Amino acid sequence: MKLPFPLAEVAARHSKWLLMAGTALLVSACSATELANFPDTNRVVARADYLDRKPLPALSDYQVAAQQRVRNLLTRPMTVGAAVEIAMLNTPHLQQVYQSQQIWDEDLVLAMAEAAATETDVNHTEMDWTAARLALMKSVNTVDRFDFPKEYFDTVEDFVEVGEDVRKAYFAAVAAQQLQNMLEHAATATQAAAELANAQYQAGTANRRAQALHHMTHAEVVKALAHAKLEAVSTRETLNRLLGLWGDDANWTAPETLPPLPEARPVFDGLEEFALERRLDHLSERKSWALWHSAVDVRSEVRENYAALQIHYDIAKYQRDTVLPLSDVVLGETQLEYNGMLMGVYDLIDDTRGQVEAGREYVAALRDYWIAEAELVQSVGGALPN
Amino acid sequence: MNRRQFFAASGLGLAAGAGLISRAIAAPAEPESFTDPATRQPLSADGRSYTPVVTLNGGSLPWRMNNGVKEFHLVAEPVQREFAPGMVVNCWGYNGSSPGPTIEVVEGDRVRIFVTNKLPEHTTIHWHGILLPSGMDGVGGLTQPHIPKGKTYVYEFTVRHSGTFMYHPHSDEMVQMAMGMMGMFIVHPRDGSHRVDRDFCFLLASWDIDPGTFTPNTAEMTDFNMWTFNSRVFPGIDPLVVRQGDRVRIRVGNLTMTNHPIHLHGYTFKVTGTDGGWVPPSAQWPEVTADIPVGAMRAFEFVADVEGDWAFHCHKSHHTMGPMGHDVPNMIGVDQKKATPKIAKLLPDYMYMPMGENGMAEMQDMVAMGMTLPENTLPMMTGEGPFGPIEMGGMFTVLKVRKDVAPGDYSDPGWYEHPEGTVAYEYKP
Repeated sequence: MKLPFPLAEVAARHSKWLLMAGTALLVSACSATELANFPDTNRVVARADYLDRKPLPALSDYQVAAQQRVRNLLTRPMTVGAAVEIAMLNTPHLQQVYQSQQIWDEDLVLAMAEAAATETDVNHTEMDWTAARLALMKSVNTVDRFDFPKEYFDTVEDFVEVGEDVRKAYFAAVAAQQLQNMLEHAATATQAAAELANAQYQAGTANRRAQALHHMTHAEVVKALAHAKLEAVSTRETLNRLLGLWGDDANWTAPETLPPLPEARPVFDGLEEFALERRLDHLSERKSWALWHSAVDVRSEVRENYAALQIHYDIAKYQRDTVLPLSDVVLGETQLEYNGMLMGVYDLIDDTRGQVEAGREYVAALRDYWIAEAELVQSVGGALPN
Repeated sequence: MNRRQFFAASGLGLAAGAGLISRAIAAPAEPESFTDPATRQPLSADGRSYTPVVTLNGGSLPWRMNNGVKEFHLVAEPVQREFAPGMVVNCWGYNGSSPGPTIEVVEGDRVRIFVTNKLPEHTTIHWHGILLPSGMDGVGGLTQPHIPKGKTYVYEFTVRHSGTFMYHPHSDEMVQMAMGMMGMFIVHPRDGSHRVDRDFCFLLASWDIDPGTFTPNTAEMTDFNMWTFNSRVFPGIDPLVVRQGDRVRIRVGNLTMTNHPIHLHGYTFKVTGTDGGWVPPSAQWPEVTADIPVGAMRAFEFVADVEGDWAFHCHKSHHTMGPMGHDVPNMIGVDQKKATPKIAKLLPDYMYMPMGENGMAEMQDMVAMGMTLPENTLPMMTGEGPFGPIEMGGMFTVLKVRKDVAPGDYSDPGWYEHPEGTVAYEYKP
């Protein structure tokens, strides 16, 4: 177990005042050499003794409550909010943090549920980090362990990072499953074409070359489908690892579709300044020459991620509002020409595949949008401005 | 600048070149418009000894006599032509129509034809098969300047030979003919010879009009999908209505890029004329199909002595079809029932039906059931007859011979009412 730094070291490392969750907490400056300025040192030792003497029970109250909550969340198709909440409760790394911070209780489980707002909005994509931080602070204060700002920063930083990882993994997993399902339609189409080619060969209206070409087309789609399945498994297991799920818990149901594209193009003013106030990694650098360098990096990251969010939004919207209707027009006109025997059944099948591909490109674009959003959220410190 | 260029530049080129032409020419008459695709009644022969022609789904251009000269006014212009109900084509033509109106004169007539160019590019008119002063032959660049857009040129000549001729541009010729610019030029014998009771004429044209489009693709040389009599396709082509016992002449000109074996059911006929003039009786022989070569005209005659509805069509079966897909897979005898449910499932909003296993006739049933086609596109086989679907399109119409048709009446008498016992019937043991 990692022990907290001696306060003197903490004080040396951090500026005397720090911003946390929009609240400035004052930490007294002190002399590193005066013993009186090392409060609670005995307690530090005592805790270590306590832990050495009484190991944690196999299943703590926290674990019972967390497992119950996780099981409850897993009964429904997984939402992004649920995934984040499960991660907050269940990720091995965060559990270790809670344990080390001694905030390992049922109240934290309730506080996380409240912060995630999983119950109220299935498409909710943001964790209420302020609430999570306050919950953490409250838990820390309860056991009077809120002495070490660095620890606190690390923990909240972990929250934000895990949140980002989970959300990216969630969108990747849901999209991969959807992309696989859609590709199955394309495989059905090429299978029908191959079967027609068989029937044509048997009837003497197509030669073996034409028949073989249809089968090769189908084989390409079958292989692509296998790769799509691999991607779906891989992204799902990435998420399972982040969520700390195994056994039956790992068999959760994914929703059929990603959250819809927001109605309005995302526009935020003053994002760079917003990020500078909230990025804890940046704040922790304020003590040194690195501050300036850090600010430059933060600003650049925010600009990049903000541009990525807007561009991915534009691509997804263009695909949905322009390209998909165009593929509908193409298929519709092919159907009309098929009616008049002006085009053949293979044209119909090809254009069906074209429409499926346009749909898959939309799913991929929507996935990229939500991943870009997760990255932007992370780069501004855990939540976008309202 | 040589003398020729000088006259051309001064606007006197034609008049000076022709030498004999009066320079005091009155303004041309208002052009008669032919936008209605119904067959017009023939013009009056004006007391002269000939039977005026009937132009299928068109008519003859009225003229104005001016000091002994027959004056016509043709306006070359973009037009819209209905090929058959359900399809309108953006063509170029004359006087509101493709083909242009028939010019009908008598051997020896002096004619003056005003040609006003309202096309977006220059044009000329070549009088195909007619011997005239070389400078009136209408070959842009060779025998005259191209007629610039917005200008009116005058052609004037004396018609020396009777026969069946045509007119068409000789100026950006491929485009302008592919767009529908053509017309008949009929010259009746002055002496009243070769007279018949009913005299029909029309031109053959081919078109490349993609399904769902409105304007012909003029760059095509071989892969045409629409085949017309006077820019009409069956069932848009009017019937040839004939009184029983009439001597009938049908004049056909071919401005497509392939030959057309034009076949008349029932009757034998003899080719009595080409664009080279009248065929001597000793050179005529009976036949039922006249092959019309490219860029040529044939006039054939018969006596319509047996009543009935007689099919009359190009014998190239693709030419009696509407637009066809030539790249569709061959599904004759192909059992499609394994793949059908898969395709139907992929297209839940579409009434997918496998086609072609038993031939193509089922297509028109599906169209009749309400399956829609691309806009401005006709079914490739269509037309409803008294006994069911006629399954035709393109170069197909019907010669209707009736005993109760009045002389000069060309209106459609309806389907033939067959005497009892004269229609093929089902054998019932």
